[in-house]
Amino acid sequence: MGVYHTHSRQETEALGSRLATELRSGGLVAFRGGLGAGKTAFCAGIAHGLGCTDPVSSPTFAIVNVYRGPVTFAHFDMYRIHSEEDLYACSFYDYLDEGAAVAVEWSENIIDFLEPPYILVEIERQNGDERKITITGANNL
Amino acid sequence: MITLAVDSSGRAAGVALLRDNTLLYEAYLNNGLTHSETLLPMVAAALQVAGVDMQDIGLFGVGAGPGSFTGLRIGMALVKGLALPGNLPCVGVSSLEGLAAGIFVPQGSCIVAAEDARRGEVYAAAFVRGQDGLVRLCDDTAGRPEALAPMLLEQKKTTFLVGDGAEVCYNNLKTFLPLEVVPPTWRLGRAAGVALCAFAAWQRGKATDAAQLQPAYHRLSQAQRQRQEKLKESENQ
Repeated sequence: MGVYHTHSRQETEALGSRLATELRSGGLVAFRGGLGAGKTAFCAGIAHGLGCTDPVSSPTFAIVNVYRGPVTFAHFDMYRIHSEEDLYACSFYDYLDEGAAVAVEWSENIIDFLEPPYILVEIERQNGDERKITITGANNL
Repeated sequence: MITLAVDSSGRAAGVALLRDNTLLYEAYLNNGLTHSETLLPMVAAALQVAGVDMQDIGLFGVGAGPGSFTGLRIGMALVKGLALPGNLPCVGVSSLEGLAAGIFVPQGSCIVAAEDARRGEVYAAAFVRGQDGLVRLCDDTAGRPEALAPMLLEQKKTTFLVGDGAEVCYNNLKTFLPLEVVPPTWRLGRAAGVALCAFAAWQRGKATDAAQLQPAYHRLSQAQRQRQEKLKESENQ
């Protein structure tokens, strides 16, 4: 487990880029952290680190955004996903099965259906732009 | 009568052409590419090299699940689109039945066709190979593989395991009965199995039209339902 303190969106993105090295052959990252915590910024960093060039945005309305690159990056927002049926129908398992890097915002909603191993990223707001980011399950960060 | 069958319910994509019960052509693709990009070119290639025209097709078969959500929609949409203009008959084949029909086992043996449903559960169906082909021993079910043990023990026969859930079944059933896991090359779904099942269903009068063709997406097991009900209860408290 590692605890990191970032002081700007850029620093949060940079940490995401570093984590991308663990996702070069796919894998799952689950996020915890409320609105405005910086989950999407962290995912923008992952996309950059993976070499995906499509613009990253919050998948709140689409449920999943897919960014193309050397490794496909599927970016989910599970805010409106509550059952395993929902999870199946939003193609969550399909992306995992095809070996994509998969990031899940609001993983709290589907925690009972997540199978280890996965990397857990918990983002807590501190003062201003400062964030405390706790990463569990990453091997070489 | 020519049957065109496609299967995109699992990891491998497949296309097959039958003339009555004779397999004319079969393709199998397991390179991780998206079925939406590969399936239609595979159908086009099948028709071209087999010298079959779209007008010659009399029946469509499609692997109808259980299986990948996206994969099932791709196969269903393709077959519905091809069948609609000529109002041709279609058969949605249980992907598990298709798996079982796609392999050869000695007469008198059992087959368990199983797809991984995650967290130690499988979608599965059991068959025994009789004199005239496969006889189903149970409906397509979802749950832990151990639930199949009593039924298989009663058969007192060697059981062959096929599908991407074969290993989960093997690990959970090996203490109960003699098992053979089908080697990886023949383990995933083949369109020939789907085609043979579709043709047999059509002969029994079980074909439908494109509009009635339905995927069998996902069957929650009792245990999964109970877990979800508990979750809902705890949310409401």
